Amino acid sequence: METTIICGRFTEATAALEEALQLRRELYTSPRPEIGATLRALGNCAYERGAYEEAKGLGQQAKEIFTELSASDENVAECNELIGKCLYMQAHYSAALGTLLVAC
Amino acid sequence: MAAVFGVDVDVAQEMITGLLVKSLVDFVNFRYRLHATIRLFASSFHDQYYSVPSGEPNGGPLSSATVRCTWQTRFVDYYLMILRRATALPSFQESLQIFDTERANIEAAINLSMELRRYSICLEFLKLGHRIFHARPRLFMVTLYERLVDVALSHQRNLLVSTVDGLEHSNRAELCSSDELGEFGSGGLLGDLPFLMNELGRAYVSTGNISNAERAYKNSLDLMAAKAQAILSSSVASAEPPGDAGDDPTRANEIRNLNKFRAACLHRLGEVYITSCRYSSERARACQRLPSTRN
Repeated sequence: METTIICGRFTEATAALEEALQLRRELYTSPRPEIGATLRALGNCAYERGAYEEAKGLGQQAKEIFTELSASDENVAECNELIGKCLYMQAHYSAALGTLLVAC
Repeated sequence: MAAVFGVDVDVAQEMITGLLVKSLVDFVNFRYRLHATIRLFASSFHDQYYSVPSGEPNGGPLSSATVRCTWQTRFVDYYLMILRRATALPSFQESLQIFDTERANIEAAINLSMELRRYSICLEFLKLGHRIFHARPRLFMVTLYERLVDVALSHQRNLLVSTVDGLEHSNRAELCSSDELGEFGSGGLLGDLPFLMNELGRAYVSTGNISNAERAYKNSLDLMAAKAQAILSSSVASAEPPGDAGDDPTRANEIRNLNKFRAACLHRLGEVYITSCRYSSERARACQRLPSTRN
């Protein structure tokens, strides 16, 4: 029963974040931190529900945006952390270690 | 002091020096440590002094209410200016530093603006300082936003009741003084209700009240949808294509700003859902770990 509630919240979270992302993509034509932040939040949501491959992809997209804006931004580190966590959960330990060390 | 009491700097300097000599106030780092206490003392002294009717011996030249309102208004305006200066600084850390130094006075000024029913000024404080306020302990903010939202909602209810009672719009306008219309009109509390709800949601998140935050964000989104509908309806009324803000740049800009705000609110709502998922997951895991108490 607890699991059903958790899944319900993930669906709602994904729906809200996807709508936010769509709106932001319509509003801004160039890369913006707001788009990166929503992509990363979607990645976090995917990670929480165990969709690690999807989370990694979203984290990568967010990282590209933040890197374009400012390479040494702490947002880039947070994206690396998300990607690293996904790699760890997929048992790619050495790649995970490398990514997480960059994030530190 | 000079700004608050409307006297020359020299006179204020003399008064402060006298106060320093006769009191226990210590001058530390160019600030009076007991500033807030002195303000309260001055306030009670003022009541005592002005309780004597004006014109009588020892009485003040103006009524108590007028003088009190004047110094309170000056106090509020002065600290609004301080906050404006702080937020205009390029470095957020410097803004925070100024806020921390002036925090007690800024909070007192915000509370005074509420007491004086100067809601538009109160909103200005919140809009200017929302980034700073969310970076600092937040219980104060929750209380403040709740109070403002309550005021706005009760006013909205009053307007609805008067509409149900069959009053015409013009009569309703007469019921409100011009000051009230300024405080509650489209640029005032009611117009900013989506912003207030959104900020209330953020304040709830920072105090860990996730379910209240979710409700506040949803209310904010509903209010934004209603506002967008109202903007689009007004464009229809002015014979522009329905569902479009038309060529009116002001209206198009309003819709764009509303969409920016909507996206931010949806993003925060999504994060609230994720947080509540985390809480549920942790609770579920904790429940699994607990030994069964049933036989």
